[in-house]
Amino acid sequence: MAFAHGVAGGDQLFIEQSTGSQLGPFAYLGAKHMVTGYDHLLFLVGVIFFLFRMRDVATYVSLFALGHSATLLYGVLSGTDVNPFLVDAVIGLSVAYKGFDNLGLLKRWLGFQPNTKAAVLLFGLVHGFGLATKLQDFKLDPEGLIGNILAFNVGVEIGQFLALGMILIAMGFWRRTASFTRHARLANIALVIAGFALAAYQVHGFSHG
Amino acid sequence: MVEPSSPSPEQPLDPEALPSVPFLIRASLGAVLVAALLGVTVVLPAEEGIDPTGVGGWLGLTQIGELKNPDEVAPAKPEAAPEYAFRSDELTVTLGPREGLEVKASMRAGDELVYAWQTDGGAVFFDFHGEPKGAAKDVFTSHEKGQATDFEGAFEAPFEGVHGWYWKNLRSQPTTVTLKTSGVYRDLAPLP
Repeated sequence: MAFAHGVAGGDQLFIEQSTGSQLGPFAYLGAKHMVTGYDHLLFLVGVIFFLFRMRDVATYVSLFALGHSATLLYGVLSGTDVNPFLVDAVIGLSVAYKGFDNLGLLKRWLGFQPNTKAAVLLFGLVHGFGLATKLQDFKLDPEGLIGNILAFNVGVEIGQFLALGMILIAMGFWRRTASFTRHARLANIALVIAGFALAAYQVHGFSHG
Repeated sequence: MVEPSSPSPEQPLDPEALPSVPFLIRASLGAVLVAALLGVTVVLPAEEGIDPTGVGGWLGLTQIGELKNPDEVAPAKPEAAPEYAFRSDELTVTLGPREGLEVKASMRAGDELVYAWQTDGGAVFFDFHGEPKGAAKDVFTSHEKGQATDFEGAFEAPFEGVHGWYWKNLRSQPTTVTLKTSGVYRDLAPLP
């Protein structure tokens, strides 16, 4: 898995040697995966880019959390076999989608504004399969598995909360600058490019992995 | 159709609705504080195995850090002895709580052995692997790994070097592992 953004080497060793209920470590690994997972973070940046009210931020981030929790738990517990490269490629495309959406291009091309809540929930489901494949790469001890997966999921949400806090503070400063609206366009073009680059990278990994 | 709350790039910015600069500065200081606190109590134990506050141990994170930063590096390879011959051995090792240990033999490419091992109870993590002769430290190939109470197999060495078993006791009480081997190899012994 040289190309997929996975769990770091020492952490992998720990997961494979661990046995039974390991709630703290699995929560830590979930949080670490989220905080260091640029693909998830870029998508979050896109989602909250034009959300100025905390209530809206909470709504959209909850929808995202609901989506990725559902497929993370379902994916690991059912043993659904999804190709990690293809899932990560779609996750890259989700970043590009949100960039297009923020640029107002989806509305212009389609003639209507696709439901933003439905989109964040749907892409949340995809991100969850991505999280699931990271855990499925390992031999997991069946004993205590459900608790460990739940702990991993709780960790993912804690990590997302911490990362979101940093993003919101940084965006808070940025939004107060006079040039925000001008730079917003550039930033979302950058999101589209980064999204396509991530997707291309994963497709490359898929065809050579 | 645009929902009232849905984001729009055309929406004008209302400076009154944005968080104030003093608030953002307070939030930044708070974030730095939280980051420092988590760094010391969580990240340091889990990444470096250093746990100044005891929180890492309580959460079970220090074990990840210790695994990543072993005190002792892998033991040296056994000294070369004169000849290879067909032989059979039986060997028992005792692993302390959560202790790991290796038993290895020298083999040439194409040498074969059959083996069987079992524990006196709990499952152990095992990694049956080989290190090519003259390879750099920490360079190895896993032939078979997982968690089991017993395992057996036939093995043909794909390259010359030392091949053998790493076992790690996953329990908090001692576990013994009994290994039986037959084949062409030499210097079968636990590494110190």
